[in-house]
Amino acid sequence: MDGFVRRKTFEILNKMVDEALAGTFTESDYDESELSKLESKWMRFLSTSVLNREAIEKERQSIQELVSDISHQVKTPIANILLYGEILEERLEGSKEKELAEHLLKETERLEFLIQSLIKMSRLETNTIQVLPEVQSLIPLLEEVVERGEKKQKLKGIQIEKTGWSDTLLACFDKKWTEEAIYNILDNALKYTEENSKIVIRIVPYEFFVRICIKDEGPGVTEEEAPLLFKRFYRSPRFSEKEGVGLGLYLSREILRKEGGYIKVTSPKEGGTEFSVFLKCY
Amino acid sequence: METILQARDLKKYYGSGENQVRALDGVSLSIRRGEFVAVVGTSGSGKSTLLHMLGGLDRPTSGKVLVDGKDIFRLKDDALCIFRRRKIGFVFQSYNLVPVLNVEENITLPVELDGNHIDTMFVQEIVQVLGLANKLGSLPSELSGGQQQRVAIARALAAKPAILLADEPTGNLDSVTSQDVLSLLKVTSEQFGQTIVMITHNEEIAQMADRIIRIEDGRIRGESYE
Repeated sequence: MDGFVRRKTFEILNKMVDEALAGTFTESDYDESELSKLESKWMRFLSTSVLNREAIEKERQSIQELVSDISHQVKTPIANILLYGEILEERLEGSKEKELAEHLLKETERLEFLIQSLIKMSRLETNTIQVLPEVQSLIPLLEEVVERGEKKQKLKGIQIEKTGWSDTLLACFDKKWTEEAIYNILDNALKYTEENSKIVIRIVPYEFFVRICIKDEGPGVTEEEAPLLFKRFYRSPRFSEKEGVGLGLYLSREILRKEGGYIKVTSPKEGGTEFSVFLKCY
Repeated sequence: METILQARDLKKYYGSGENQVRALDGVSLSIRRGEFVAVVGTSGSGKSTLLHMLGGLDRPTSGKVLVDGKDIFRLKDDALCIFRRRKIGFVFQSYNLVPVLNVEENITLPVELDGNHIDTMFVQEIVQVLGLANKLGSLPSELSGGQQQRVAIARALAAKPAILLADEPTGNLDSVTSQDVLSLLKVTSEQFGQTIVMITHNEEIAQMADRIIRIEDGRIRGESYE
């Protein structure tokens, strides 16, 4: 083969691979040349790998749909158990019996919460619910988050301090899901911080991002534990007695990632835990 | 997740006898695909030497660096140079943009040097994420420091490198701009699954990463694992 033909051949081969990467490869002419044979094999290879990928994707989807279906189907029975449990608790006489019924209700509530989180998770992951970020005012979102936590906050006598809350702040987010994401963080802070302590919600604007810091006076996290917090079903061994299923922060992270933001956690020197949510503002 | 970058017992000694400096004294680490890792250390701890080894910019006294399972120091200098251009994206403290080329040309230059076609869609996406869409026609001299660093990041990403190595990427920026640049790095790693190794002396900056590796006197001192 002379140099010209060889160069030409390599050009064609390179083009074949480029087209395969772009997903646009088609066979050109059919003839008895080696190149044409190669083209046919290349086509066959590409279509089988596409088939494989599609099969894997399909399998993944059906598993997620299954999770979604199961979660959905157990919702009604759980609601019924709760209802009958409450009736039972009212009718029971002895204090020992009442205590048992209370345990029953508490566990059922926990189960209900777990199922609801699973539904949200599977919906997010199967993209049945799309996160649709749009530029809008930030303060109303945070007001709603704080309002959702008000009951727990008052019950524990916790004070919420707001710094940097300026009405003109804009960010790019999906209101419903972002409220969920940030509330999960506030809910954690409310859960782990001491009674009669303070939670600071501070907003820091940058050019491209706006940062929402939620800082509590709780036990803090270690550097080793920080990345684990966002894993599905992770529960800190230090607080196994606290209620929760370990899905909240995982959900928060997924939601924020879908709208081009992110979340991080640190333990400041003065103690407590600080979560920072970064929302895109362009 | 699969390991993309591995260092095995890396040593780099300068000089000999009493004047011998052990810049790296037996460093082993492994980084998985899609991870955002920070290497923290004071100046003189050996962190920059480590980054130079990981990126194939300098050869170690002994030890190995494996990228995608391949021992990069078994390559000859010419091959190592091409390897770097194809597999590693660099972002330094100084932006190293070509002053006579506009933003778009700066971003696509390395890909074109390699004789490859530009993946226009991908470049558009990067430009969008890094907030450079309305600056493509500008010259580097018309941009602020933060904007120039964003162009440098876009340039490093355009070639779809296996690993992005960043050496004090915010060293020349004020704290507000630094936060933005770091946020963009973080978002890049999340959205494009880009593996990033960032060197810094600043603890707070390191906190942005998924994992922190601490280096001191040429050795790894502490590591927080995911």
